[in-house]
Amino acid sequence: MGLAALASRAEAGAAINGGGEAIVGLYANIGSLDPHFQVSHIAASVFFGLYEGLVTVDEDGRVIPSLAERWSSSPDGLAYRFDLRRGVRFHDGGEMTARDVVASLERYRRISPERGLPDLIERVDASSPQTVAIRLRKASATFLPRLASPANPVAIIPAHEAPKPLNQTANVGTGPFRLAEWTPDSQVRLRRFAGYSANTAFTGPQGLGGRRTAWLDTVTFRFMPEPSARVAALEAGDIHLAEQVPARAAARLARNPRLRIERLTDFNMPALFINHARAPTSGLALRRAVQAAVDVREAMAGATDGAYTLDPSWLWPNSPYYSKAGGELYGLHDLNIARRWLAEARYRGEAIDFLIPNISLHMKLGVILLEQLRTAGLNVRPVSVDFATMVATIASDRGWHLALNGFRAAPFLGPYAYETIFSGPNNWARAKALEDGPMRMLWDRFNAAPDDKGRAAAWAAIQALTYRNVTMVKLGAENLLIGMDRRLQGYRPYAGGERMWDVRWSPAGRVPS
Amino acid sequence: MGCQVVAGGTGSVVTGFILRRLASGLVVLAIVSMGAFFLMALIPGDPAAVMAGPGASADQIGAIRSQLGLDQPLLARLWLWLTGLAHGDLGRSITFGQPVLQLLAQRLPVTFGLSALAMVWTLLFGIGSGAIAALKRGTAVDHTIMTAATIGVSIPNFWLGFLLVMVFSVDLMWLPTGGYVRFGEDPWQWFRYMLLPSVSLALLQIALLSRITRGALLDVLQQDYVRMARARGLSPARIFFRYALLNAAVPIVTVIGAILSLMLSGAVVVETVFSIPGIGRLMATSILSRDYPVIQGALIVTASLLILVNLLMDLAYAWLNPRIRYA
Repeated sequence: MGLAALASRAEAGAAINGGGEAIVGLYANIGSLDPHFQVSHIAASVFFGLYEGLVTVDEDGRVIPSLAERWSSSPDGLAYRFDLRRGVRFHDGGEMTARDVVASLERYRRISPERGLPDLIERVDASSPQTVAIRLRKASATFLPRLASPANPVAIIPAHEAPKPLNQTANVGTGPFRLAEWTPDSQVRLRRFAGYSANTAFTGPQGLGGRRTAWLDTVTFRFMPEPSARVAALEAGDIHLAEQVPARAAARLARNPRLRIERLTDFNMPALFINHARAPTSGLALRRAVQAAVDVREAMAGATDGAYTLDPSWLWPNSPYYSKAGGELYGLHDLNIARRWLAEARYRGEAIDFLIPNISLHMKLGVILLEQLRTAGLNVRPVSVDFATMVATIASDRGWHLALNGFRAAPFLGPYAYETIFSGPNNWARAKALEDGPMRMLWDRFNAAPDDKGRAAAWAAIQALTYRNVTMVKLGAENLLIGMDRRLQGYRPYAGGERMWDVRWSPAGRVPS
Repeated sequence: MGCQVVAGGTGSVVTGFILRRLASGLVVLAIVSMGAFFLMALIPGDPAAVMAGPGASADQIGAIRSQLGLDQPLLARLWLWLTGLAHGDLGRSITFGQPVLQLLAQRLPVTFGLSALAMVWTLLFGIGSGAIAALKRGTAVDHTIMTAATIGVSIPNFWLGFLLVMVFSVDLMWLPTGGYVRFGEDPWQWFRYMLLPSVSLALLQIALLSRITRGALLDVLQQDYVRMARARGLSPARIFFRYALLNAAVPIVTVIGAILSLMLSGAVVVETVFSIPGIGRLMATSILSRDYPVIQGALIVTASLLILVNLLMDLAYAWLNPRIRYA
């Protein structure tokens, strides 16, 4: 009965490689579809089917050309010239030119909440229909990574769309899919763009760029925050790919001959945030006690049901800046050391407020960490909050000592994404200028380094300092388990989001439509 | 069946009653709208922080706040909200960037459809099982129905929803696990998509209505006029429908009014479990993301609906029982 019903759902369609529909169950919702406003990491799955930028990132997060054919910079690093690919068309049929790029960048500077890139750019000009010149205020190694960032995409849209205010654009890009439907809080449907100009400089897809091909007729991203609903829908054949499958359900799905499980190790990096501005966590000795008391293996294993990896780096292992500096202080779990630090801190059992947001992973982590810290002798009080409350609270010096949060985009984007998190007036540790001084110097060294080697050395020093100073406590990496229909071919999990281009239905299989 | 009411004519008294209730409803709405605004201002959390996501910098969050106008003083935002409201403009969603009225207009038919189908099951099975239990009082049938009703009242609808999905969608593959098809697009598919959610939403209400119906009917069936009707040799069906059920209707209608309110709150859970783009799911999402304009707009719309439902219930009382006066 089940197989017959399933077969009836899968209508025989295009017999060869192309065509059909794939339905993806996303674990979270996407709000705004404004190409220059969206900063949610989750939105990347939809955005990079629709939009393209001048440059983008490859499999390992390195910058590669996209709508730009090539780029060059002046010896002083202040002027960049981008030569555009010819014959690239927007979803509305217009041809992409330098005028569109200038208008898009201007809109990005006006609207994007990401201030790092707009603050760097002094002027953008179209020196010819196929050439864009960008003048920077100061030379910066972060310019190209910021321009390519999937977290704050600098999408190129038609010049006539650029004057429109926030959330009023028509969602016209140059990507392999065009927008077919958006029902807020429900689903986004993309349709294959017949006029797509693939980047022939590459032989195949690379990260979020390269030579991309849309094989599927439509891709529907359905927002399904409830894990059990995603799993049930996948088992029933109502969706073909389910993100963030709970580990226990994944074990069951793996036994289903119709399905397979993909694992993305570089998904989410939970961390214990520590308030440096409020006693008693303002004291370094007490923070070191916290660092020594935490058993990251037990916490991650318990909270993820085994879908985790441990690593001291704040970046994913494939980053060119990957480093294990400071790792000797990662995952210490030594109660004797913790108690010695508590004694040195002259800790007298002052209450420590621990914010635990009501997100499944964080709630589990919170319960385990709470017991670990109490066992070490810390008087920790759990405070259960929703995510919005927690983010608002940790943006101030008061109301918290410890909080659970995590990073999804930053470990993928690279060191520059951590600059305002670890340092500066609004750093997430709430560290004040005096304490932030050494960290600031290291960031200045990173930004001024003439080459990758110098930047890597500066970043390793920054990372080591986060451990010595206990800026925050890295816990581990939560793996993303993805359940999918076995007949979907060409899918590769990616830290930058779901990539549904170059995915197609198996020639032997039926093609849902 | 007209209303036997005070002097002045039925029509004018009823009209006056409705106008007075609508006027008091407007006062309630004004209180709700102000309350909603200040409640949103009081609760901690920031929509800009939610939009920026985990790990965003404070600079990013500040820039989003500025873009969304959330950095304006509270009174300035209140003035904007009230002037917009006076012009029928509920503002624009912070999260989705769309007008709140448009979002609500898209979602209301979905929730109405779900609630209407759930109400059909509630009336059909709630009144039906309650009536059977009353007529078979003290028998195994009565005990079975009341036991089932007790269990039904105790089952959370999200748990029931998952149970139904596992059985009817995953194992038997008869019905979809979730999603939505518009009624106008394909009525049969709409029914298939709405069946499990509506049953999940209705079960608690069926159990509730069944118990109330049984109690009300048992009370009426012991009245003298029912005994008199039996003595006159009227058919059991006529006695039941003409004398018993109609006279038991007032408490049943009262419960139906309460059930309509419960369905709106139940829709929040059921629409989330079944991925239905209704007003309940919209409200849940908006609360978590602190989308103030949508929460305020949805509160006003739901408060209006509840005022309307209460008015209709009051009118129904007088229609069902002519001794009830409009005051």
